[in-house]
Amino acid sequence: MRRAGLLLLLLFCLLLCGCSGRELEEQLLVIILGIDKTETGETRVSVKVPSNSASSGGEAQQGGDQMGYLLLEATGPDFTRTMNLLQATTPRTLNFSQVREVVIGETAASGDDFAKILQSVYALPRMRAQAALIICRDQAYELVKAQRPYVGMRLSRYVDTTLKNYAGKGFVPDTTLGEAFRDLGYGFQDALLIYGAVNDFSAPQSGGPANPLDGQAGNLPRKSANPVEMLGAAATDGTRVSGTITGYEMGLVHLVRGDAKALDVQPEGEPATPVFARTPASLSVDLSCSPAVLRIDLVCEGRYFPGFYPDEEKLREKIEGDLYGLMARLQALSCDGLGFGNLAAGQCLTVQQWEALSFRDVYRRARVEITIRLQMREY
Amino acid sequence: MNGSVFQTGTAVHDLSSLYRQEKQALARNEWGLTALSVGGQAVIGTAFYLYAHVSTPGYISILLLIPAGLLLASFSLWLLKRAGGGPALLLAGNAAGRGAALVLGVTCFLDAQMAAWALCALVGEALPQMSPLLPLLGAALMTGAALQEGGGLRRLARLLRALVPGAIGLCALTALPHGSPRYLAPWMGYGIPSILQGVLWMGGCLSGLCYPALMPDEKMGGALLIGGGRMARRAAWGALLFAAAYALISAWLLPVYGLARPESLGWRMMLFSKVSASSVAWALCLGGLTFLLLAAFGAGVQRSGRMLSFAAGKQGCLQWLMWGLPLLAVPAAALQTVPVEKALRLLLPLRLPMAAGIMGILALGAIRKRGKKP
Repeated sequence: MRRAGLLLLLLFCLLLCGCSGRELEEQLLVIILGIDKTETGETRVSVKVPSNSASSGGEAQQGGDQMGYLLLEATGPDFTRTMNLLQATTPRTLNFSQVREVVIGETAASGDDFAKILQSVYALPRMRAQAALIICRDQAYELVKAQRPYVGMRLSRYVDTTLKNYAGKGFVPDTTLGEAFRDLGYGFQDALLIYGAVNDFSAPQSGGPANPLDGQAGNLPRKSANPVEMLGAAATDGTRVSGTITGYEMGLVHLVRGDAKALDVQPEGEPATPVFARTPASLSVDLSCSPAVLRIDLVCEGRYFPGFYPDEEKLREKIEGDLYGLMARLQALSCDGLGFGNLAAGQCLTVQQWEALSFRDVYRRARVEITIRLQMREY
Repeated sequence: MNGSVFQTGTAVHDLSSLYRQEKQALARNEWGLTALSVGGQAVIGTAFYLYAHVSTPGYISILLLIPAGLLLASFSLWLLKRAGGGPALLLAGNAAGRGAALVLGVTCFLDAQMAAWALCALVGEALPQMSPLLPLLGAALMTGAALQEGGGLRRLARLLRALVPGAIGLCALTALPHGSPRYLAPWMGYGIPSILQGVLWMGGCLSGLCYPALMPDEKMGGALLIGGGRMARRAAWGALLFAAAYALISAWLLPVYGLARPESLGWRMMLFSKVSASSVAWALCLGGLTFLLLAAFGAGVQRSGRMLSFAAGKQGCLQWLMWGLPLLAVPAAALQTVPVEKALRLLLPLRLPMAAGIMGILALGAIRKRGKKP
């Protein structure tokens, strides 16, 4: 009897679905939120919402977009006042509990008030903290406008699946709004954000880098009905976006974190070899010497087909060299994307000790030591 | 001869063992309610004070309270034994006992007020477009109605004892992969003084462990004596370990500055589900916390009512107090204003000195009485 009562109460808990009691047609569920800085320094906010109209499903809406989604925008002196304007002029209340993407233009992201914008976005009522945070090469508005369900019917499902697919391939980070907000400004770890762009396909289709994935979204040599690209990452320095890294470099980050499925590494004059890391690299920080030493000890595994045994030493040197390059890039951008700060904090007993350490300066000047232990295995 | 001898398959109990079992069940339910109430107060205190002022090592503050909790529970039972199972409040004399009941009634009401405040914050977080006044009023009326029946709350607590930690634990499981043990560093947060400050503030949540044995209820007094100190210690351990686990998981999910960030109480209480993307986790967290807070609210109101009616010397006013006190807690909670919050922050840690001071006076009374015996 008691167990039945418990089970019943537990099941009642699951009936709490999080709906606020408002009808679907009384609100506009925001799927994508875009934020830009205009040339005059104003803030432009754009949102993509399902129109919920009977004519949805292909026809262009007046003042809006296609395929049953409306594109609304407003411009104001700052994010909060622009949002107020948007809320005041939108026929229904905007609901942010279903936001899938928050897209911020690179100009806004590299400005001084990036942290403030992020904080304001995060503080929107019922904002979905698990929304992906994307930094857009040009104007976020263009990316928001170009995002459509190219496959399937629903934009939310399309965006979810697309982001999951990209993250699984390892050339973009999978940082959410909540995670970016969590890491911003404390120096324990700096967020790497998804880097996206709209490709106008005007870039030359040949003559690019030897590894096309060693590039960034926006000018990839490809053609598609979908102009939206996501490749590489925007690096943050605790207050703003300080620069970008390429898709291949992001792959290296995943390799170090141990969550990459495979990364094709191609030494000069050798075939590309898929490299895996079964476990995250062992990271450590030695604060006792000056400059401090950041150590990465990576155990990885290269796979080869029978008869095509690659030069193991060359492969190891290539991974090592690329990792040194990645670390130099991250240090130059003042972005602790691998989380050495967390390890340094572990050596401090109190917050006061941690603050006295000024780890960001220590990190920028630190010496890097990388050890690669490569094992080759036949397919 | 054999024809008159028969054997029965039914267990035969004598009356005294049945009486004992009944008393033990009563004591178990009462300590269960106490554990829920103290656990609820500690969870509220964690979100209300520890996150902002102690941050990551908040769980250390709670763990440091365990010896004090065990001591309080044992001490209150010792007093009850001195009173022979009768009202321990009378150990220092009739007038002093009534004065003590009045003070304890106020501290119990503070418990209820804090639970109502947290409940209101939780409703505000779950239903931001709705005024929390109506749900809170509903909860107060329901509590008032439930308390008209003597043992209803204790029986409900028996169910919730497993449900609440289960629901919150399941929610925590979905959130844990989003955190990291690295966020626990720096291990001492803002330093030992802030941890000790946390211990002092959270001490107020322990006052609930004194109430069962100090309650002016003859039937319950006898039952608690039969139940013994083991149940009391288990309640103290259970409540404080649950609260420490809650604080530890919170520290696992956010780094020190993230946890200390100024957020609403509702947001902080729903932290597990904020980190986890699962809507099932959201439902479990909301459900578990709502039950926990309702139990803490009910326990606070019930105990406050009993103490105040004893202080007034009129048992007849008890049922009116059971209606009046829950409603009295509503306005301050529904307002959610900064002055009320500041007042609560100031008053809540005083619950322990008030309860412990009264126990000290009662102990002196007990010692003096024993000295007078030939």
